Amino acid sequence: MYFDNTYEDKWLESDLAKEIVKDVDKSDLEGPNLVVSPVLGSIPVTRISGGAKTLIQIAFDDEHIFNVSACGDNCAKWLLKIGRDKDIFVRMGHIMHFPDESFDIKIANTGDVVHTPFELVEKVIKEGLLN
Amino acid sequence: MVGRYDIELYNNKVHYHLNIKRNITVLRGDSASGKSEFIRLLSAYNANPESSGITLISEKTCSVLTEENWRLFVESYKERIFL
Repeated sequence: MYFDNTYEDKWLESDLAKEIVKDVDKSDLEGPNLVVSPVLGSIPVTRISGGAKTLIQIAFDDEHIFNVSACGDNCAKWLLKIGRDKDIFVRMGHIMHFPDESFDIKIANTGDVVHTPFELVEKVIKEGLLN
Repeated sequence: MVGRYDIELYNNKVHYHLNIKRNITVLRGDSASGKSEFIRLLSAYNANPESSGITLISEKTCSVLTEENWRLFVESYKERIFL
């Protein structure tokens, strides 16, 4: 709901937003006013998935910390991609399955920096971060 | 409420068919896999069962819990599936 009431048109005119919607929603973001979905047909941008909305907000809104609980595992690679261009800070209430590649993720709760999906899961479980 | 229940929900674009077993069923999936659309359709159906253009086939009444007073709804209604 936050996205629906705060997004800016210019975000939805960017190549990044279009790539996110294409990959996550398998839909074409035609601009700030139209998405073409192979399943739903022509829909307003407010009906794209929660994951796509969250990713777009993370990419373009630097003033807030976003909860990625609405993001499925298919959003993980996009978090890494956005994180390569700028530091991002998110709240993660579940273990997201990141791609099997090297990355730098700092767990704010403990200060640890993890570099692989295995290290992330191990640290989360050992520290009881989801308890 | 116990047992297994079939829920079929569809419109001209999408068709959902779930078989759920009480008490708690978790709908999981990737983003954009249709979870929210299912809830949206059910909400729209419940708001206008006759004129929504949406079809629900379910032995039990299905309701979407979105209000702050969800606890009151759950305690007040029996023999109902809540999503």
